[in-house]
Amino acid sequence: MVIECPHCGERHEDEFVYGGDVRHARPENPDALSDAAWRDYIYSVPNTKGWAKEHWWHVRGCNRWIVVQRNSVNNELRSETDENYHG
Amino acid sequence: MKYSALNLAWQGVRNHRGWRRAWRHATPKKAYDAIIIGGGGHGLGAAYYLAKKHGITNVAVLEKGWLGGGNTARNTMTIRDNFIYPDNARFHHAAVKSWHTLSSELNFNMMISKRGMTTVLMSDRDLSDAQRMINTTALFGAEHRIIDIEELQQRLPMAVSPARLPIVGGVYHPDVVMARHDAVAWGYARAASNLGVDIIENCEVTDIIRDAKGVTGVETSLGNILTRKLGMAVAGHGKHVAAMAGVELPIETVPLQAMVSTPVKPFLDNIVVLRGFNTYFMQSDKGELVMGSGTDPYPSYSQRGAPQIPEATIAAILQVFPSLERMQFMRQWAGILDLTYDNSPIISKTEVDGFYIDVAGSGGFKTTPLAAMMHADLIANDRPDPLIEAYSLERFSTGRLILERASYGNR
Repeated sequence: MVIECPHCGERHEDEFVYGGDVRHARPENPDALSDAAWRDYIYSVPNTKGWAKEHWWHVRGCNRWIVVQRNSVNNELRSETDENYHG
Repeated sequence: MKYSALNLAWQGVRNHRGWRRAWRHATPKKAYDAIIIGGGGHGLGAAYYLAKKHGITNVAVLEKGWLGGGNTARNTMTIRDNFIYPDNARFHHAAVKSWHTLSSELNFNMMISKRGMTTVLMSDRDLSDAQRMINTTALFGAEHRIIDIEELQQRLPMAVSPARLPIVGGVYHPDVVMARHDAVAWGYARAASNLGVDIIENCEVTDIIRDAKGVTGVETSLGNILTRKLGMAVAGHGKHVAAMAGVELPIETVPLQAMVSTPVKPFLDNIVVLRGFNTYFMQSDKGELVMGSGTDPYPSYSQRGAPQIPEATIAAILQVFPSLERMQFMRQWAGILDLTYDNSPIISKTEVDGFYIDVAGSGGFKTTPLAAMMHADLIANDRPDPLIEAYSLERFSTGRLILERASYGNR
């Protein structure tokens, strides 16, 4: 897989660390959460089959977190628009 | 038709024209007492034990593709017993034993080959970890022992000398066996079919139908089928099938890769594990080297896997066995594992009445007969056997996880 980093250009996936689906966000107010909802946040991930937006950490490159669209069926990648990138 | 030497000779005389299909071709009935989703080893086994042990013979197994075409076909056939935590150690020790009588029970040759497993240790930390594993697993009956460098070299004569690598010794685990993976699916299918179970291939479950009391049936590509008891033994897509019943499973789907070389003359009887490299390999009965890696570093449904993983596996094997440098690849593939956060299976009831699951085996080939037996018992009696109480779905709410390190997906 060759991932396009908006800061560094096309780089091999070995430079990146997978950071999870962007929809799997920490709840705004954990204290108000039920046990079941807390369990879902900790242990359940969207596990999408197909296209999903994901965080990737360019740890062996510019060290920034970026958002990448990946198809989990065949690992095809799509570039994101700039405003969706973090950092 | 019983398979025996006598029958083989008799069929030989008749030019092998008398063999019959191993299992009946079935078309779905309107309703069943129980339905199992998934025609791999676990699902077919569950159907067999429902019929054999619990007298529930009005059962169907629904398989999206062909029998044993999922992870039953994609594993590396290794049956080991080196799990550390009490619940896992107890379960896996019983699971290894459940293979011993399977061939005679099903009248189908599982081609059990007792190999033993040798783990190469390369640091003092490996050694103390191994000692801890040996002590804890011994409490549940598993047999391992530390071997010195001399014995290690005897068992693995082609490994490099410890002068080149910091090899400190090894662990020998004599109980490890290999079994023919296809035979597991075919043997269970034939035995279940003989007891009246309908095995329905090319039948995809598209939805699970419920009422206020629980499961009432399934929607499939071959029409609706009614049932009050539904078991799920699905690998790779467990989360999606369970979601049809409204059950949220804490599962992530990750490829686990393996590869096979061209066949060569026998030189290796043991299964070799290289600790710290996430790598193991063995020579199959056909002479091929079967090599296995750790899980891919990100979730995916791609049955190819990331290319840098086999590269690292081969590099590790060549460090310890440089003489294998000219071996040639035949094929490489990935099995799609459903992994739980604690790398332990879920064999459990769910919050939906009549919906039972046996998923996330994390390399569940080794537990096939026992997990299937326990799943059938769960479906028949609607309560877990003490052996699988720890594998409940509830453990993710209560926090009673089994953080196993002997599984593939170490996280």
